[in-house]
Amino acid sequence: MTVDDRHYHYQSLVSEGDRRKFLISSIMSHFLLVTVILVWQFAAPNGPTLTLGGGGGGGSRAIGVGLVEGLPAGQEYFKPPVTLPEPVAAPAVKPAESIMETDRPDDFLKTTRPDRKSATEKPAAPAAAAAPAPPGPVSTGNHAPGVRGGTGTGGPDGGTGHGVSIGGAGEGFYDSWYARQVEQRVGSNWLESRMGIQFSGKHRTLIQFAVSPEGRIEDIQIVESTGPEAFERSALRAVRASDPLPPLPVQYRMQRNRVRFVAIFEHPTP
Amino acid sequence: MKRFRLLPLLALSCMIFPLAQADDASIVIKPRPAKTTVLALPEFQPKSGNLDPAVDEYLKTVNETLWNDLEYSAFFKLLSRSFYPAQRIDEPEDLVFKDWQDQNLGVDFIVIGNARIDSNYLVVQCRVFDLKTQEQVLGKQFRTIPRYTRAIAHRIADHIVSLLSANASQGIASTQIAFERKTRTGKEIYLADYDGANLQPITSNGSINVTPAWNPSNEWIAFTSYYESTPRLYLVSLANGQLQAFPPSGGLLTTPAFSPDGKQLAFSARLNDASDTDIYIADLDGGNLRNITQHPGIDISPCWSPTGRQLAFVSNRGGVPQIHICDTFGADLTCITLESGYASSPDWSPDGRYIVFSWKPSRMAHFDLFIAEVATKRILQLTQGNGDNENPSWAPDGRHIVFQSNRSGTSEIYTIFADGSELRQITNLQGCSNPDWSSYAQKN
Repeated sequence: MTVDDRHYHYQSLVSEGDRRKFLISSIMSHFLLVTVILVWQFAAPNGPTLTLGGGGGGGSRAIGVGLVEGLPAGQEYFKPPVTLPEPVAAPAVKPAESIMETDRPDDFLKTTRPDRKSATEKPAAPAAAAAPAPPGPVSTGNHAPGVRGGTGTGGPDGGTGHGVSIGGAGEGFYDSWYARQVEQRVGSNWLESRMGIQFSGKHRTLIQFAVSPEGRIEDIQIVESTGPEAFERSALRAVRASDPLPPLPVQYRMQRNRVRFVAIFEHPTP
Repeated sequence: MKRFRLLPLLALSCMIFPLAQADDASIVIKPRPAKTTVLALPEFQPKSGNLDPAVDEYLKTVNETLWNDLEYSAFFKLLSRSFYPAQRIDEPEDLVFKDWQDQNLGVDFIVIGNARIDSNYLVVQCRVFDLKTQEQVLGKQFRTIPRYTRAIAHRIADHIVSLLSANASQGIASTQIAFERKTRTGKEIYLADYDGANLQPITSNGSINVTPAWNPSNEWIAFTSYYESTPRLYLVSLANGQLQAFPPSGGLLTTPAFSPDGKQLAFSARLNDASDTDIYIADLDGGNLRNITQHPGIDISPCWSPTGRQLAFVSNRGGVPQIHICDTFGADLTCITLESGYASSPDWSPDGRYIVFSWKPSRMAHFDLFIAEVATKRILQLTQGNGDNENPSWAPDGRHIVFQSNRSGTSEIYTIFADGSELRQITNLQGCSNPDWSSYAQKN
């Protein structure tokens, strides 16, 4: 929007009488402003230089031009939240600095779940691949404080194709990409951390941890363990090595401060 | 004004809601071997309503770069576009999940996006959807001048890698590689993106400038220069091009390496009063200078372990040049290579478990890349039978390695997966060597 545009905009918005009032008040405020500046300069010639951050009344015109001058597209700089300037010193070396990144496009909330078509196609995905998942360990709720049987799609008796056994309420709420990716991250760390050790027999360790909104892993504790200490340690190391995780998704954050996970480490791997 | 009356109520409920949920259920996961995540990446389209034809050209760059980045990330498999439904997708509304949930395709996530020109600025929107739950995993908008089109694609790729690998990597698409390039008068330090694009000179003094090394925050590059009569070390700021000479001088200083905290520099030097080349550590202002290898042998090419508590370097104290490890005071010295042939240029992996180095097993053989597992001294060969492959450097994700090779006749820069697969040549400039991979790019 250029200055002329804006002026035109004002004209069309206010009536003739209002405009006159507006003009008078503008002239008066300008006069006042000039007086203040003169007095300031006169009273403190070596004082701090006066900088004008924003406009007042009709005065915003001149100052607006001052801000826009020399910048490639003035409109940009009227958008409030982003404060990334054009790189002046070494543009070629750090191009990333001049990209403005917005977390959520304006239409984000409207389109979070487009094309969501009722229940008809929802069960199809889990059902097709549910077979290999073993009986859900969540049913051992006595051993794992905080683990609750649930009514979600990946309930206590099955788990989805990915083997995410999920406790808790909310249809499909916990069966999210986040839990699946965490499972894979901890899993690959676990394989590495027990390399070179051959375990015999059946072992099982349950480790509970919390994930903060920023994705930090906190309060790691063993809630149940039948394995030798080395097995426990490999599981603990795998969880610690997965810190930090990505920030919790918005869907989680709206519900609670932190999200608790229980990771079930089993040998032999099912 | 009416709706503002609800604000206190809203704020109050925001405060109470988490408390009400304090006793929460846990999410149960069963860690298991990671399965490769499969992505679908239909081409980004001009946003409907965009009237500027220039956007097509920018989109071509975005589409190409993003595909390459994700494919080379070492985390994903990309489903070939020949299987995609023909429908054009630029907004989430165009996405018909049923088409993509076909079990035969096996796609886990879909990446869609669009671009438009808005008063000379390029605006790119990108979204990632989980095909299982139809959740939106990522929604970002980028706005910049068209010159940074490739940087946008890199940025998108990094976001996707970081989220879908659960932070196992932050994505290397926005990282850069520093290396020396042969010129008519000598050698100069150059920078390029990790894929070889955006080549730019860092030095141009007509002298010989070699062995560049990044600092951990990517703000400085240390290098050796013969600009004065004897080689000495310089630090150059990438933000403003400011050049600083590293104080210790008089003698032969080379192969600098920043400590992981960025506060110290390790380097090899033969100072004036010394009888041989040793590894030294000093603060960036030259203070606290100390020799950590007081041994009558040649010690060069130091690199730090990611914890900053150990260093690896090349030493010929056993008769032939081999890779040795010691702590920052020179104690606990061990040799991790096989005490034969010629080993050189070690670099410690970001997770601390491996050291990559180049090794020439016998006089007749070529240099090839090898990885040694530090704890077990087990050694794995990465390259084979293709000229000399030298001066490896790890990418910050620990899954890629950059090195120089003369397999094509001239020395060029190549990248490779840490398992030895997926070789890519990233320069073709007739004489590039000594690459060093930057740290992860800072996300602002």
